[in-house]
Amino acid sequence: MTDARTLQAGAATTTPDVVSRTWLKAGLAHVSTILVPVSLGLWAYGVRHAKAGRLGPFGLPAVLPVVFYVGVALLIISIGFELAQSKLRPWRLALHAVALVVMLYGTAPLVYPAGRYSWLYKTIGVVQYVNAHGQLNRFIDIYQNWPGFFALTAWFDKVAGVSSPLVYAKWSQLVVELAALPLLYLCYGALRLPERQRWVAMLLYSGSNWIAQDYFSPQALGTLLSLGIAAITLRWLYAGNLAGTPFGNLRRLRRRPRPTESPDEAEPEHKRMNAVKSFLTFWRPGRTHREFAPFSAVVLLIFFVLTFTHELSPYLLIVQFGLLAVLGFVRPRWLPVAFAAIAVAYLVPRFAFVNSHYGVLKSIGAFFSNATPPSFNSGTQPLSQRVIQYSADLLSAFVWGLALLGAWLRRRSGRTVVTLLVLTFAPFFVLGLVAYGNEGLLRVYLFSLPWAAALAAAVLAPVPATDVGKGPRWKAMRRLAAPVLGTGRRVQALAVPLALGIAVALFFPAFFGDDYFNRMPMGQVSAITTFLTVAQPGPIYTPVANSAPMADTARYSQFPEHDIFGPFGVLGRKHVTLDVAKELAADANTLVGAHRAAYVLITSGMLHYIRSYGLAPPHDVSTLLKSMRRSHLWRRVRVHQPGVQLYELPPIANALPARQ
Amino acid sequence: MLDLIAALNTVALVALVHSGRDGIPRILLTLGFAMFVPGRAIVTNWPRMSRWSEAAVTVTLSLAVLTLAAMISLWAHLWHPVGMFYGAAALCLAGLIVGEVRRRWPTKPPVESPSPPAGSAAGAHGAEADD
Repeated sequence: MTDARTLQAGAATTTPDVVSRTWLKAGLAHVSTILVPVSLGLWAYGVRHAKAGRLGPFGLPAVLPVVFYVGVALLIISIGFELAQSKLRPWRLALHAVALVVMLYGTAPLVYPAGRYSWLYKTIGVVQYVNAHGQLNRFIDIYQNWPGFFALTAWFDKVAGVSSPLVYAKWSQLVVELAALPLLYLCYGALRLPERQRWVAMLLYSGSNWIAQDYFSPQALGTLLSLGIAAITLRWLYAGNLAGTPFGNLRRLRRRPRPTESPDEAEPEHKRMNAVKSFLTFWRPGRTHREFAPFSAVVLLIFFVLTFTHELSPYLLIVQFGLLAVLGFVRPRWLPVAFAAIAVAYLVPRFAFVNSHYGVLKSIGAFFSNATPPSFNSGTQPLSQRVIQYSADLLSAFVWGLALLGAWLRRRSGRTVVTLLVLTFAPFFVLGLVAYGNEGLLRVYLFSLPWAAALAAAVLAPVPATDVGKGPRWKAMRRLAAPVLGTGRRVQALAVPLALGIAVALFFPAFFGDDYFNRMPMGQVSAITTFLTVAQPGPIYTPVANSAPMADTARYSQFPEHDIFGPFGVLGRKHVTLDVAKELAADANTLVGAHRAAYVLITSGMLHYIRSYGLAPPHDVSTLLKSMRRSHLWRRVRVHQPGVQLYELPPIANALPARQ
Repeated sequence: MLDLIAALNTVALVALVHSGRDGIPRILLTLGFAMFVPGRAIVTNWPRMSRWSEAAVTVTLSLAVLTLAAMISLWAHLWHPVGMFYGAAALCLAGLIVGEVRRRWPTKPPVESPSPPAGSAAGAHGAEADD
């Protein structure tokens, strides 16, 4: 029989049809060799020809040339081809993952000369403060209370020989996302996800991390530390699926064969013996806890560093691993208790400051109010903002939806699926405790994403047909599933690029859409930085907070920022008249007295921001500009930079409004 | 190989810092040091960790160790970043050399680590080298 089959096979290989099929197969295996360099070339060409100077309400995606998107699309198609290979090629997949991250997170630093986001400049200011003073002042702001990241980057600047993080800060997103890839791979490996699912999950993570918490900030470092903690815990301190471990084999050994089980489905004798041997080699009483103690110690040490690096990340980890410990999946079970003890011990001396500034006690229990995203606080939004917001919402819903579907498909994978579900959805519990400046939901998404992507991968790269349930009960199901799942790789070849394409298509508006006001022109950065380096200390009035590259010097704490418009603005809900300049001068006088300077700073980015979020009527903004131009109290400071208007209230004039 | 890369990165960075030369190479070497070298010096002396992850876990360990060292020097009002770097570089080089020596001339036969049971799925507790 065997000889006959061999002969038939030999005969078959000689037909031209099979020869061409073999050539086709060999050709398809090398598609990525051509597609990756072509896609990178097109992407690079697109980046070079992006019209960053013409940004509009739809941000960067609207000014990128078509070739840019063709390049990204080709890479996604190449990923599909690579994942459709019968034998995965890790180096090629790693190249694809790196290329995707470079395309998504390397575009902004190449297109813009200065880092995006006004709040990035505040973190730069804290780093400068640490290097200038060599110590911290806990009473300045929350950053100085959780200073791990700032200490590290201040050290980095001195060793790297740079005068300010402005030199490299814009590259942070690319570096952090690249560094996250191997850590994600470790986490997925620790959970024993099939190889194909690990790669799909990593790619999906990179393609849907739209919330941009990876900029030069404590939470970016916190993400890397958290992923490291998760990887070590899941690998060494996790009592996950016992199948495959010596303990699991022992349990399998003890299982009695079911009455319906046919002899060929029963455990072969040599496997049973191997299970006994491996258990006896591995297990000795009292050995396990001692052996894994160094891993517990390392995890606790990294957690301690995380505790003074970022204020929220430790609590998200406590909730995630606390729930796993309750379910008995994390050993030792006291590990999350130790996490909590470290976090609370660090928080207690700082609690008064945090509570007075952020109202922690008020937000406890207010789940729905805490879960409100930041954009919901603003007024009427234009179409562009709604599109950007819907893209972000859709992308989050898409990932979480796929995760739920994946959990359903993996429902028989025991502890692995429970663990992934807990890690994905446990961060929502934190919303019951803190609002985190209405950014809680964004942090929940960040901490949920690695695990949601892992569950989603189960939908996009399902396990082979042979793994569809075991035992006689599943025999019929296996027979039914075989023709479908037999073509699984072909289905995946479409499913993965399609899902990744959807994610990346939504990622672009969600991640780059706000660049209309998030982009900081280099000239404005230089002008404002130079001014803040030499100006007399005093409050700075800005139309809205967080929309200009302010506070990036060591003196940042000497220039407190005050909003003019918006819910917390100086004007409140008052009607704006041409006397607004005088009102601001009076407010400055009340605030700092007669002998200190005060400033009004208006940039083009601020005006874009107000327009995009509808924070003030256009008439109010134009009245402010007119009032400032006509005012005799405020002196216009020459900045020589288009898009920047800076006014100074000199110390002597500062006293005038009060006298009047 | 990874140990050699870590050692070369450290030596090159020490030379650049000592000579006072600024520029992109120094920034990149500092990034390489901050994200790789201290962790590698730990992992190379920790066979079980090393068999599991040669490179990936070193990122977290490096960042954690350097952040802790920087914070301790801030809390202790002993802020000398360059001095701290020289100290860290010396310790890392020592760790890397000790790791290399231990591997080349083991003092005792390596303890047999739990091997993956026959027929088990990859990545079980005994499986090694995930990256």
